[in-house]
Amino acid sequence: MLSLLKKLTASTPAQPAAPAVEEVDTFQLGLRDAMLSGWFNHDTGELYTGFPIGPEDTLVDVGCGDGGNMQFCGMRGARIIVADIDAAKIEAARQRLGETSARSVEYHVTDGNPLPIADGTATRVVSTEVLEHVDDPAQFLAELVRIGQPGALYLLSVPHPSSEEVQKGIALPAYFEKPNHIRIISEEQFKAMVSEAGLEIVSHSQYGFYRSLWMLLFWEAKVDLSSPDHPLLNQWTKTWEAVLNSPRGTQIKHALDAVMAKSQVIIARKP
Amino acid sequence: MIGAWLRRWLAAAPAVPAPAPAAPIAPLSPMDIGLQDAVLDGWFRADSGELLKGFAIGADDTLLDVGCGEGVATLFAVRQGASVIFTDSEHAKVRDLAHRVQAQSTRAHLGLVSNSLPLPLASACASKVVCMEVLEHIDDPQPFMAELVRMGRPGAQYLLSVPAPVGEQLQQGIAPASYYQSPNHVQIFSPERFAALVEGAGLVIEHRQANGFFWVMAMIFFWASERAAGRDLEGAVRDRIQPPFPPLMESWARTWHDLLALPDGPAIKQLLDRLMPKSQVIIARKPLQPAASTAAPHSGATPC
Repeated sequence: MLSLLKKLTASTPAQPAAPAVEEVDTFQLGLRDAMLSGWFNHDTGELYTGFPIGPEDTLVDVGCGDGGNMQFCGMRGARIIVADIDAAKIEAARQRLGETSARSVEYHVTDGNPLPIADGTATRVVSTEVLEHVDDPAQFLAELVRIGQPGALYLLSVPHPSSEEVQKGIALPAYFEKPNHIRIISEEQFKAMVSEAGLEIVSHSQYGFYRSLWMLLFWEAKVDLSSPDHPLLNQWTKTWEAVLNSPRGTQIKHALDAVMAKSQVIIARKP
Repeated sequence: MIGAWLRRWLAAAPAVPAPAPAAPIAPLSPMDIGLQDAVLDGWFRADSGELLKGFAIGADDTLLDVGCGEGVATLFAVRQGASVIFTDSEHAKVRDLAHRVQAQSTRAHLGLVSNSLPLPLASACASKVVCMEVLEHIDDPQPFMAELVRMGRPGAQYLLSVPAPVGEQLQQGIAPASYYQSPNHVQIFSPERFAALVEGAGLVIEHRQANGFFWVMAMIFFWASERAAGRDLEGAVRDRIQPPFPPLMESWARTWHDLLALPDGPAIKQLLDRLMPKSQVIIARKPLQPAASTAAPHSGATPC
């Protein structure tokens, strides 16, 4: 349940191999929506807008989940180091990354305190939807900063408060308890955390109206996250698909993402 | 703008809408779902005679409906046995509504075509004043508000609504430029500005609410569909929201219908309304004793 929750709520929907058995596929549509937000740009080689990956990069993903992000980076030929607290996640990542052209891959099962990775290892550091789970975000960020080379780029994301606040009282209590989201991070707090860790913020963005509303409806639909087949969820997915297919779909998506967003993303640089 | 929809719904369905959700029939009309949504917000309580929760109309009342459109408020008041005065800048709206009121009411009623101040009505002619989705069309809302206050009796109750800023800002760039020009919206009211306008005119606010996530989405999808179809987007918006509805709007209506049908659907609706409302409503009252600073009433008004 938690892994699927992470998969759905994380900024990065599963890469190409998404389960496609439903009539309308929320995973595929979520991926399409994420790509319109700047994820997985195959043309530019950017994992996210402003975060290019090349074969020369050494990339560390902390809290990698099942490795959807890293699969993209693997395809770019980078050296990859993945870390997660959950051994099952690392195993899933291992399977996904095995199919890529990654220069090399290292796996660590770790709670991140400290990370078993040497100082100044990475040119790219990714940590999506992790900070809202950890007991000590400052300590966690300090570790991320330690393993980056000077000039390394960071891609950090956490849930956006707009959708978190709406989900209060609707989501299962467990959603806002350890090991799930133990804090709601405002835009200002997120920026302050990153700055205080010693990183320079390059960009701050938000997206995910589609997924925010989907999640809200999901709690009410009371279906299993592994096969979220429910008329309401399907109807919303169908509607959003029609939105994206309309001539102004991308513009509408961006306007709505600005009001209710699932995630906020910071691209930052180590001086 | 919700007022425009409200007016149209009631015009389309003279019977008081039942609060219970309608049985699902395909395709769903966004108007029907919007009405169902509005009923959840407290509109059209036939049992208690409340046009909106907290705004009851009775047989002793004289209701003034400024910017009546299709007459949702006026016709509701008629059904409560009230006398009605209704005004609109469009002659056809007033004429059509006058016919309907004539057919349904035995009480005194008066329809006026007017788009200038002062309104040709006597001071203190109404015990209930309704002005929904009008102030955002007015270049200078303050004297207009003063006119509304003048026409209410001491103790009169007011039901006022304007679009909420979130929905208005969201539609910018998606709705055509004409949406933000006369005869459409020339003002955007923050909640603070709306309250200041009402209180500045000497009214005491009794209740506030903001709702209409459903309509924000429906309208965005309406604009998107109109553009996709290459339709002309000029003119008064309220007259263009009618069947046949674009598939995208119907698909959204179906989503909303399915949500409201679930046990916690209305609770989720409330959360989303708070986040992204279409319309904000103030119920206010004119004090029995005028405040010291109240402006002198206009002269030259004719009796109503």
